[in-house]
Amino acid sequence: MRILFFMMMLFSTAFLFNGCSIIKKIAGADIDPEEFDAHRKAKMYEIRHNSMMSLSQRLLDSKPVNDADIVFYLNEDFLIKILSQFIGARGILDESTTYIINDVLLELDYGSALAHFEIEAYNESYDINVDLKLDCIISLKIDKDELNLLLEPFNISPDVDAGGILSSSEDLIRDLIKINLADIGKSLGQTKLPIDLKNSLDISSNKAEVRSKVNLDFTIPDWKMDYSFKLREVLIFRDAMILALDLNKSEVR
Amino acid sequence: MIKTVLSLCTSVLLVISLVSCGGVSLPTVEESNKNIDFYKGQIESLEKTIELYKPSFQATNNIVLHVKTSAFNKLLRKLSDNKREDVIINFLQTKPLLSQKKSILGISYKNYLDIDTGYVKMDLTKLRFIEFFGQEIKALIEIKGSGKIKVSGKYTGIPATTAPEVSLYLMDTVSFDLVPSFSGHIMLTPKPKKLMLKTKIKIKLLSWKIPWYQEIPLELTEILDPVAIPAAVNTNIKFPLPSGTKGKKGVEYVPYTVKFSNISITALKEIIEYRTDIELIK
Repeated sequence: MRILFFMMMLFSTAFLFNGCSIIKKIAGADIDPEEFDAHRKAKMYEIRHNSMMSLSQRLLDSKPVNDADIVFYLNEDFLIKILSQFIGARGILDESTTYIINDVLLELDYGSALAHFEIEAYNESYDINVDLKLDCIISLKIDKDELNLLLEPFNISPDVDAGGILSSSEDLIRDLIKINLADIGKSLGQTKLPIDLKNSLDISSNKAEVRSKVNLDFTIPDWKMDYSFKLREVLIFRDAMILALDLNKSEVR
Repeated sequence: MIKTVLSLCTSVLLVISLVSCGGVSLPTVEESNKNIDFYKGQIESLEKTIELYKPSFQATNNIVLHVKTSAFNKLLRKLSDNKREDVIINFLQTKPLLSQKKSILGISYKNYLDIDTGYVKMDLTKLRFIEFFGQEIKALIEIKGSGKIKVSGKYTGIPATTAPEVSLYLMDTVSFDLVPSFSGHIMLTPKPKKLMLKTKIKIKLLSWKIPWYQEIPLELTEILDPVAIPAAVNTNIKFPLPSGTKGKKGVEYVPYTVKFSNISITALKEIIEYRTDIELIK
């Protein structure tokens, strides 16, 4: 009986406490900053490789890149100006965790555009700050005739350069890292670029009065034309993002 | 025996607790470094291919826009193919349009013809850009139409009215200056030029047959104002910034104004190039 009672107590104790906390205290930290850093770098290389492969295949295609009706070249500085608007922005990760975006770095490479956010998360329950890196793929999408820039998070990890603080906030870091990246992506929203896919050409009416051998009025009535473009492709190079668009619909009103 | 069983149970429990520890699983540093080395090699050869085949461009401004002149002409063709009335000519009273002094047996009289009224619709049959150079574009324009006018007059002292057919025709090349605007438009400003409207009326008043032809000068800048063509860039945008309000997830859209600077427009061989820098103002 005593043995049975002892075994039951052991089972209960194991399930009562969070098994991980007990084991962690015994075995030491379960977050390895070096692993995170190496894994993050490997992910970046994988993305760069896959994107370069797509771009290289496209360039080997015989169709010229700048053959479209309209071609936009958005340089690196343009994208930096767009991303810089996020610096200082504050958001919410969960009920007790808020964050501030301290910096955003743009990385343009052949076939890929990445945004690296440096964010500082503050957790009310633990009353501590944690530095995190949020990596996003920059892409373009058309939504209701608007050209939007999307930030799609693919990685969140502790900022290994922050050092020291990691050891006191491992539980928090683990929880933050498991945060649904799709939720963060929604809080970054989609930025409508200052490029109009729908346009209108208006030629205002005019009249010339002829008073000579013949008296007549020569009148051009209002001309209005609506036209729109459709996105053919987006190609990313190290100094610019190229958007190729074609004339889609046009209508004289 | 009992001690053995007890030790066994404790070990099993410890193992179960260890396994149930849900941590974040990552590859080891060695595995990650192996992946990095693999991709590095592949990237080197892909870079060489891309460098060889990438298009040449100079993205020295924030936005560089190239519009093919054929795209412009596609739009202009829509205008010229449209079946609506493109130009309206209203003939006003003209007294006299023609006048002849005659005399029979010493009696003088005057034959004359007045235009009373008239309305002609003209159709734009050709409009396209044909030459591009620097800050200038040349376009070919053709307009034609016919209609009836009301004329009245006297012939050998006999008053009469009739409604002859009038045909009008204009074809010429016109030039526009390309001027940048700060509102995100490409301005086409017509250069002054006298266009000749060829007017032909075959008049038959009683037995008076008069083929009448006149070239009426029209000043281009009087019939066409500068045209603002959208350069497909916007001056107002909204930024989705994370909502920092407690209890509120999602985004808040903050309006910004896009200010353009260092704008230039140039007509190159087959494209019109528009360059601008931007500044985002909250």
